[in-house]
Amino acid sequence: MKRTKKAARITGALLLTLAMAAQVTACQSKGNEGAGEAAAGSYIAESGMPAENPNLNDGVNRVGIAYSNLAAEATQVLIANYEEHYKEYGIDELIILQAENNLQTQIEQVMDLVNQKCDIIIVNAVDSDGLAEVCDQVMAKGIPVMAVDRPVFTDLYYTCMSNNYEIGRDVARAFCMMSYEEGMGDGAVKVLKCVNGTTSAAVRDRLAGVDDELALWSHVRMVGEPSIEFDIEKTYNAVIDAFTADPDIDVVYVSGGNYVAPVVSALDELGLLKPYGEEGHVIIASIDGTATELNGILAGQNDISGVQRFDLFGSKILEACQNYFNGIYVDSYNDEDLEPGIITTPWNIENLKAKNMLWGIH
Amino acid sequence: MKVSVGQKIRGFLFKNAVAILLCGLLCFILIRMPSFFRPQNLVSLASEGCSFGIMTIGMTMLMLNGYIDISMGAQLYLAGVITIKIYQMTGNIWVCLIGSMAATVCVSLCNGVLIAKIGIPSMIATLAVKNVCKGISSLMIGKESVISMPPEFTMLGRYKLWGIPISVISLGVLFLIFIVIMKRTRFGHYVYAIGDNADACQASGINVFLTREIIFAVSGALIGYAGVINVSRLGGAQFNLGEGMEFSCVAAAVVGGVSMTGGRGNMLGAVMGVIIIAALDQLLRLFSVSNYLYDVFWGAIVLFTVSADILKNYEIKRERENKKTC
Amino acid sequence: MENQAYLQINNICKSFFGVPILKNVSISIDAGEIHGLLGGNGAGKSTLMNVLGGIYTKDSGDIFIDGAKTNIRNASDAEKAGISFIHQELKLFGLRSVAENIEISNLPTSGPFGFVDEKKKNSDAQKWLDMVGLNVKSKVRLGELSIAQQQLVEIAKALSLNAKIMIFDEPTSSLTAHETQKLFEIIRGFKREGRCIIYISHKFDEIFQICDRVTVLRNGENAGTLDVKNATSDELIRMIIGRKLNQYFPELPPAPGENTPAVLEVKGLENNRLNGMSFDLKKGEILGLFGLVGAGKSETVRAIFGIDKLSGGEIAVNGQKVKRMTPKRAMKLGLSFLTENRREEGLVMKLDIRHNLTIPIISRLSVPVVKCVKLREESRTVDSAFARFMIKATGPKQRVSTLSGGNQQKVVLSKWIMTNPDVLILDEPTRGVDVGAKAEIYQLIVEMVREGLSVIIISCEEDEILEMCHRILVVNEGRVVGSFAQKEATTEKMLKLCMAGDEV
Repeated sequence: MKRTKKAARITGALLLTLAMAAQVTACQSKGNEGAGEAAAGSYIAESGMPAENPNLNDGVNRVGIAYSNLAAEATQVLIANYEEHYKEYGIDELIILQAENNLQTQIEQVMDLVNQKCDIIIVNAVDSDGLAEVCDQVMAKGIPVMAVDRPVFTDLYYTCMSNNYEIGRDVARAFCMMSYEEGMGDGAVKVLKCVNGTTSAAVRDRLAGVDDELALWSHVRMVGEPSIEFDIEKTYNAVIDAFTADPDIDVVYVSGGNYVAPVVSALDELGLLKPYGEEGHVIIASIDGTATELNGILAGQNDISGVQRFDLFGSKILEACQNYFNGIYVDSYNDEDLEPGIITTPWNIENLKAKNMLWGIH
Repeated sequence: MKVSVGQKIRGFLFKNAVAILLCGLLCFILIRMPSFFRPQNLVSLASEGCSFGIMTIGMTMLMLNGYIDISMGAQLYLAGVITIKIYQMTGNIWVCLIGSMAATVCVSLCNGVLIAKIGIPSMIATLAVKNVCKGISSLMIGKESVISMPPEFTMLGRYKLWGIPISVISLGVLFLIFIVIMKRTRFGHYVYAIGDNADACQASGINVFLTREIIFAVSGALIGYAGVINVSRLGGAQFNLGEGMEFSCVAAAVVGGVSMTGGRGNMLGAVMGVIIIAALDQLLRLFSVSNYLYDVFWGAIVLFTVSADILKNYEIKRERENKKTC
Repeated sequence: MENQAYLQINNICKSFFGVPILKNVSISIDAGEIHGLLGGNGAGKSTLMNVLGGIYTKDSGDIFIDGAKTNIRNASDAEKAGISFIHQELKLFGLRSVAENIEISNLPTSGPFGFVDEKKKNSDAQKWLDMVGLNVKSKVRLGELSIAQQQLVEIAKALSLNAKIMIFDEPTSSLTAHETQKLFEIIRGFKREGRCIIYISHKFDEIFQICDRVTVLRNGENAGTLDVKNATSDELIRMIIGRKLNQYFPELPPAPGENTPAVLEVKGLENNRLNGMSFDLKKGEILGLFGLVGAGKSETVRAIFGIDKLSGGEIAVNGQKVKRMTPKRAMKLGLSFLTENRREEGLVMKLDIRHNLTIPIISRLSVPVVKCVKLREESRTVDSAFARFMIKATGPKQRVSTLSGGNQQKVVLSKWIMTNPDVLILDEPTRGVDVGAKAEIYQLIVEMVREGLSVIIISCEEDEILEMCHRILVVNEGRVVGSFAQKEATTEKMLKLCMAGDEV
């Protein structure tokens, strides 16, 4: 009787001690987090001094890139850029991951990069909304996150992408001007606007730009808005259908360099592909600046390409990293560089090519 | 034998369900969109329907044997991707043609061995092969991407003979060739006989397995050719190309009177079916039907034509039973 | 008489998976002879013929044709050797034309591309059709012809391949009496031309009618060859079963008296096959329905059991009228129906014996609310069925598709009897069943009747009807045209009534 009572008392005391110890450690870690949060908060409130970056002072300048997928032509140019030049900007190590367009995978990859002690994380979001939460978490830890080519809908350290709205306006302006002839009345020029899937923020912005610009030109009107859903077969079919119903359409706009080839094929099949200057020439305008588009302009098939400055994305991001490592920080939180595009036409393409401003062809 | 009027009407409806539907459709088109029948439009129609039209030839031969090939769309995809990769390496479209046809013939021969030799039901075997082909092709092309090719690549797809695109000419020539083969040659007769009663063929000394392998090989070659024309015409390949195309082929064949149980139907009917399905496709686009309603519609069409086919067989059997007793 | 037989089979042995099926079988057949082949199920008849036809290859032994040793490895070899097999299930193409069916092995071609010469194909085929006396155009689709005509097409095909040896496997199972006689005429014609004919059948009367000699196979061995002139049924039965069968047909229990209540009454049944079918069945009676193929016998009982719809007429079970009969209701009222085709409608071929036996009575063998089967009771029921019905199998777990025809029929019979019916309807209960099993089935039926069961038997075999029934109804064109008590009935009287109004 007596022995069991004693045993019970000792066990009880031990358990109590353990509980108290656990409580104390919990408080401790919470304290740390609280400190981190306050630091991040001070970062926002102050002129941009970053909180303590836990990965920074380990002797290695390491940068991690989480890309959405590496298949697109433009991406390959961009990545090649990074890989060639990163050392010049004071970066010791570069880790490149791609998520094959899977959001969950990308979220995990971002966390992996943090755990691998990356000082800076660069993301190209699979989904601009879906990635926001993990980016917030990383930023709160004090690690800067930069977005390239696609936005993330939250406050980041730095974002470098094209000004899609402006590019849309520029391209629209270009074909409005190109299509004007003396004495044209209202609505004389017909435009077929092929709408890619509106799930992409970039596409939405471009369309907004095109629409706004078209509103300013009275001799131009839109006759069709077929949805092509990122599908080249649908593009082909849409052009055939539209031109079969009305062979007098003057301008075709597509958002994306991959969709120029089916447009050209479709027109050729209908016998409506005429070179510039000839009666019935159809102006083909697109945005991206892929090799296909540019070679097509050189060959006289399509006319306008709104070239994105993928070449600049590389250098600007790397520069931002270099500045960070040297203690030069961005002026304000959520810094953004929206690059304008270059309107490339048959008349300036040679010049641009010589000046090496076209990422698609060298 | 007393056959009630109601039964007679029902019998007529079941046997000719598809034809009745089509007449209705034709009237509808004539009223709402007469420009449909312009020659230019018909040529465009043929061009759009070219890939699945050529594939329907192979599918018809297989269906006459009681088989179905669900992997056709994936094989088209494979052919397209291989064409692009070879072109990027060699720049020669003829090498691409040989390469992609070789690949699809191999895949189809595998299908043949699995189905005709080992005896796996055709739907299951081809479903598995479809996934393999899709995976391989997606690996090569990278997920969610479109690969577009230089303008020279599209030369073959856009080539015109006497003003008619080569895709349309291929379709026409191939159809003619196969209509003749199926009707007039021994091989054609064997295909029908095997589809009717394979055991009887075996007992009559016909090499059933060899004939079936040949059908698969021919189907594969056709898909390979269609694949090259397809990507050449579109100027590139994209992720998940050809997904679901095999069901358009089945629908076209069934609309044309080819029975899924085998032995019944002919190639000419399949040609008609292809034209009708391509026309329906264009009509849907012209009326700007939403993409998702599009899916609903196609599902309904396949369901309708397959049910009509089965009901037709049922009706024929019933009539024969009634006749015999008298 | 030739010194050497045209077809000499010596010491053929064949085993499947180590189980010997044919053990040193030797037969000799002369040219111009019709040689019958008898044997119970599993005796090896079909195996032997398949060896001859090139579908199986023998393990050992020799085959001599016209003195020359012949090696038969496949169907092609058999064809070249002049062997032609007319199967029980016709191997024809229902969707193709008759000409196509006949000429399929060597379609005539013409022209530079090797196109099939349709004209020649049709005319060649027509030649063969004329030879067998089939009066149809060769362009007609095969599916349009009757079974008998299709069989003639298969024979025409054999002729076109210049068959010297023709094997007929149960050719008359789907033929009417008239068509059977026509077939015999043709076979006799072949005999006159000097061909060898092997005739496999279960039906003794046919063997006696048409064969010159008959060989009996038992357990894979040749149990003896007899000249038909000198043979008797008893002797043949003894050779088939291996022992003397005391009585083939059992003695019937006494017929029920005039005042016995009717357990089933049927009045004026009408549908698209029946024209006023009326009769009643007394308790403890065995009633036979006899008629030609298509007369309406099966249609009657299908309507009674509720499978086919009726457009007019009444059914009363034990005095109680039934408005709309369905199989479920019929079973509840105590009716059981053993169908014509056990493979399609009587058994679940892919399942084992145990399941086939217990499915109709499963609710009786289950715990009420929970619906679980009481396994011990189930196996007890199955075992007793096995013993009572003398089912020969490796055990209750054997798949029914592997059983012989006779044993399959016994499984179906016991299945229905276990539902404790009052009325048992049997449609062709011994079709495709060998002699030994037949006798056992007759015995079982009689035992059941002694225990109070009432039975309706439908059969095309006159012997069966005459020996097994208290009363016989002759059916033609969907109604009863004659009724006989067992003592008065004879084959001639019955057939006469059948022929009246028969156009064939």
